[in-house]
Amino acid sequence: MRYEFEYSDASAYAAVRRLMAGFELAGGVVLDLGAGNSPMADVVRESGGEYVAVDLDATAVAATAERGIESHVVDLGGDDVGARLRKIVADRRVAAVLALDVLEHLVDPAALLGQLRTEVVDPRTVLLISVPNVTHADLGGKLLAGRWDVTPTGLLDVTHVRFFTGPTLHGLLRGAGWHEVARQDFPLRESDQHFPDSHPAIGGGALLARYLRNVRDLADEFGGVNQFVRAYLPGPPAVLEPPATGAPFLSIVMRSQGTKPDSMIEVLTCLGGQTDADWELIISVHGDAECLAGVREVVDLFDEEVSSRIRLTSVLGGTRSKPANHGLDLAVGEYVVFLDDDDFVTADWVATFRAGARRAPGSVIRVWCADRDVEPGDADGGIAPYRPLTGLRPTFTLPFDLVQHLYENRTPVHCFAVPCALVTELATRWNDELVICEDWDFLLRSVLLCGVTDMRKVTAVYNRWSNGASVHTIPTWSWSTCREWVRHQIDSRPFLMPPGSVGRLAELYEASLRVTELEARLNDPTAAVPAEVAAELARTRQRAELAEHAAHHLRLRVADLERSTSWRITAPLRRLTRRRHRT
Amino acid sequence: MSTERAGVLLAAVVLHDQNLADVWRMFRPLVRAMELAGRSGELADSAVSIGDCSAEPILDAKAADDLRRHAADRGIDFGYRWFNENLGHSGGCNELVTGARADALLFVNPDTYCAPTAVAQLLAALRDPWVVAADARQVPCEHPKDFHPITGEQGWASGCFLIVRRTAFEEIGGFDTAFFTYGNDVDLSWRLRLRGGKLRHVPRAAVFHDKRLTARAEVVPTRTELYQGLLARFMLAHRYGHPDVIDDLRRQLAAAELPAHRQALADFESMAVAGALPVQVEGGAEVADFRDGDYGPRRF
Repeated sequence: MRYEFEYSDASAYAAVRRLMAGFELAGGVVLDLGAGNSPMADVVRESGGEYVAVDLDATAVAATAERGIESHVVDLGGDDVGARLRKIVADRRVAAVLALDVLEHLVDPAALLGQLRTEVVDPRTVLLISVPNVTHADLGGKLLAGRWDVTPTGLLDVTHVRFFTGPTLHGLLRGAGWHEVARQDFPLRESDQHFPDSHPAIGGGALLARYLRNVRDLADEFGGVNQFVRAYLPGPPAVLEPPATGAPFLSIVMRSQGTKPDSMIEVLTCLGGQTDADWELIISVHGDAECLAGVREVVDLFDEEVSSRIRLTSVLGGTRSKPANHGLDLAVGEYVVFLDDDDFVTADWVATFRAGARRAPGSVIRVWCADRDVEPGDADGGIAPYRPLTGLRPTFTLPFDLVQHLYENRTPVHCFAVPCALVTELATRWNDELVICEDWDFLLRSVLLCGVTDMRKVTAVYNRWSNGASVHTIPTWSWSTCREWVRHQIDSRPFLMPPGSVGRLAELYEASLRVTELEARLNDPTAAVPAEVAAELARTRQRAELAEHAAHHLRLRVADLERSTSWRITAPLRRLTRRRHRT
Repeated sequence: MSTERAGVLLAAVVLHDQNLADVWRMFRPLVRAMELAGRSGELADSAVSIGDCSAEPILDAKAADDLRRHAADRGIDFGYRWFNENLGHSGGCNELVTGARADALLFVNPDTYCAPTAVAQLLAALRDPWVVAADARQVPCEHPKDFHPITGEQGWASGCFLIVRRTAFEEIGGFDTAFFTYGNDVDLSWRLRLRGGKLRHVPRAAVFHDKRLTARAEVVPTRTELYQGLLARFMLAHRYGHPDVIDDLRRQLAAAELPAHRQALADFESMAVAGALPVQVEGGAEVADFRDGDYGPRRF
């Protein structure tokens, strides 16, 4: 097919031009493969390059030649394409090769790329390509709705025989020995496939389209890219790694500061006791080399059956999300779960997650959790590293309720496992701007994409430290701010709700109507107040009067105290304390 | 076990209807913990002896050989005996340690995974010549029995992961086989204390005990626990001179709904009539403590 595209500042050609500006082309040949009517000729000449057009279409080549441009007929899919091009350039230096809208037309683009590298170019030759993006959100939305609209030109040009995603293009080029050095991908929020405009899967005002766009944007940055426009230099072909095999079912990520070796031993002991041993543990140490060495000592104590499943890594700085994300980067399991270095699990913890993943693949798997209060035990010379203050309580043992979770977190971090694909394919990670509530935020974002399979089984124990833990040093305002922030983030986009949510929301709305009605009745002076309500009101008023009386006396005592000598003496200390609280 | 010389440790494990994976889950960490204790110079020699009360042997020749090789590679001896009858935990343990030349005996439940430091920590407790037995902290469901926060001294020691000085064990005749599977640790503990020995809890010696939890965060009782546990309580109350406890239990069980509880009461009454109850021990009431349905005060 013959194309007659013109250069335009609002086209992928302009992106190529910007990319080209970063390379020295003067004095060298610029081979334009599949040149068509040579829209890039003037651009190349402006840059000082010697433009040479190559195309299969003899008519286009003749027309180009009539414009005084060197042009040749070459079949880019031919076995001898390298030799033909070599012959054309002869002893001239090749400064650049342009392959704009070419690779997708070839059955075996790797052959062309390979011959270019071995027979045509020198190490300084830059290859500039422009390739349509088959993962544009418009195509995804329409394909979801059963449409695949092939068109004369554009993303689904009728003559395309190959279709590229970001990763497949990367793999093709690297495998052929071309290494990316720059990119100017051409964005087009609404591509040539953006029709019909009112289709709910792509129309900008449609909730479905907005949701799909959000999901697409999670996956990578190419949802709004029309053309991949990139520059490469030749080098050795990359050996592409085969997909990993033998990955465990469950990756467990443990954040640790290495400050609780006794607890960590007990947690690792819990993992050793699992009936399903198909797990790996990534301990992401949030600390320096000394912390890491301490954790390594603990791990090395264990039998190789357990220690060989453990990988250690460390990060410095950042919030608690940083080691979590670092651990996520290393996870290779089918599912991933977090386990802090002071929480426990029962022997069927891994097995229960696996049962859930088999029952509902792709969903977040949730288990129930008992909790207990503990306190550090060795401060007063005791022999125990910590002391439980209570027995186990059924605190997190109710079925998952999304509406409740949007209000507050009722799932400790070691009680939900998410598919690893959520991390690798949809880039769901911990928000490192949050100092607290980061696990809740991660849970909500995971759940709103995957839904939840609640196994309704207690397999975890949450140790609630009565003091000394960082959570107790965080002021209340910080909690409320972070909670609001998390809710705001969730609320800023459309999201999915699981079956049953409509009934739940209707129930809540009905309950709020009843409350409104009751309030109206209570505030209506003409309405008769039931005797028991009137009695309760009278009691409440009496208590309020007593409280006000007591408060009045307290204020008088404070006034006395402030006039006293000791209060004035300790004033600097109080100011210091207030300042510390502010910081 | 003394402070003067390196000692010899024998770990005894009684199996009943576990599978091979369960055995390895218990065995690997146990061998590792014994290996680490040996490296500290505290142990001259150590061995693991497994007795099997199952109807069919859990370990075939190859499996036993694999375990033996695993232990031998780490300098630890290994033995396996299929008893061809169910001797119970008490009878099985006694069989395994009879005639042992060990200084200390370590009784290990098969549904455990011990921490690598657990054996060394328990051995360290025996450095005190007055301590005759010590037990480990169980996770994730910690036992609520009380212990002294500084000394670790306690009223009884759990048999889940229990080290006992061999001489003391032999002096009292080992476990009483009248207590088939449950309550034998309480009985052993109280008899050791009657002879002046001290029992210690070692919280830094951790052992994972495979306990499952109900939706109410309560430990799921094992198949025989309801029956065996209650029968053991009757027998302990009898042996240690607490007829009041027996009467209380009878009253509480008058309307028992669980068949296992009704059966335990019936069997106890039958044993009493037949004169088959364990022999009462002199001064037993001094060490026995039956408060609040437990065998001593609870921490929580």
